Amino acid sequence: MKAEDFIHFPEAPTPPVYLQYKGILDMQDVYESIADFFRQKKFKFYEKQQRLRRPGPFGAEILYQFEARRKVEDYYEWIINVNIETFDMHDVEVVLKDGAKKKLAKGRIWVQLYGKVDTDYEKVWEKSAFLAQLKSFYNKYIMKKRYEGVWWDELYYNIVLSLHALIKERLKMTSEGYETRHHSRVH
Amino acid sequence: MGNLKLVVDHEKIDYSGPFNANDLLKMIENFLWERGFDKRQDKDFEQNTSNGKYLEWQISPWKKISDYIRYIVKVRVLGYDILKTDTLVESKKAKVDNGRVIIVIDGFVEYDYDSYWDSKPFFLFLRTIYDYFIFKAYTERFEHQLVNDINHLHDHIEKFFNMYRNYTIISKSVR
Repeated sequence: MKAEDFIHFPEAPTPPVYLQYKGILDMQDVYESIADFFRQKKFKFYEKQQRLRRPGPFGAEILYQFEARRKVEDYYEWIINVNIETFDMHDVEVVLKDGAKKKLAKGRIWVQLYGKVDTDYEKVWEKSAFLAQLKSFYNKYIMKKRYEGVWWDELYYNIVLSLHALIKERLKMTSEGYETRHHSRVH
Repeated sequence: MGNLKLVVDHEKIDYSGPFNANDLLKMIENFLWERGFDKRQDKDFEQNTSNGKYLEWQISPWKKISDYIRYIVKVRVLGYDILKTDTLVESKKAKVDNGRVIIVIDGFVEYDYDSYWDSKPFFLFLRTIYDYFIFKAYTERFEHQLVNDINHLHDHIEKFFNMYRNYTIISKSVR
């Protein structure tokens, strides 16, 4: 029997958030915005995979997989996964409002975001059955409110949904900017 | 999974004309946020087509009423051929979106959302008895409350569209 089988709430995942867009976009800007967002929020940012499928007649198909981690406290960390897939991407030259020309990409983009709160990331409390039981009790009875109400909430509203809003802003989508983006905190 | 009961089935609004798409979506989100719903974004799709923008936006926020019951409101917004248009309102020019929008609202009440009472058939039986007979007065009251919230949201959306009554389109749509 593994420790995960009887430990209550070893992690708390957020619901996945999706986004699809078809049109002209600046892929470099989207990428830099995501990386900068995680840097500002004190995450460590990893590029797990970048896969270029054989380009079809309509353009390239590229998969980007990013992972960001932040050890918030000794006991818990936030993990965010960002999957971006582009289809039919090809370069186009656009004329900006000031008359300058710029090279952008045209095609379809699909974004998936999800995260989780992971407790005891160094597995200190899983070294023996007794410690694992203690951890389970701690998660279930002592920390439950803070776990669901603070750690998970902050991850979901301040990180996952904020990043989702940021990507929409960079893509200049109609649904950009949601009311609660700046509600919960000032830092 | 708990017992998911459909309380409001496909409350629909179909509108064609000038409106601000961004404000509409913000208004719906804000309405639910103010009533204590947690946000869940299911879909946020946008496609630029030759006839204008196509939008598909769906949220299903939830609100825990107790440790046994929660509300789920599913709002789906579909926008067709949405284009920026010059309009005249109170003899002033304004740029707003113009197109067709369909909004569909569903309301669910989920009982036993933590699935404590469906691990054994006997527990499931007890839960059903409890929901439909013992707890019936409360169950109905919770459902009425959800219906009331959704009617309120429906009214809000209608009022929002009514604000654009005085907008007169003065130019052809531009992309």
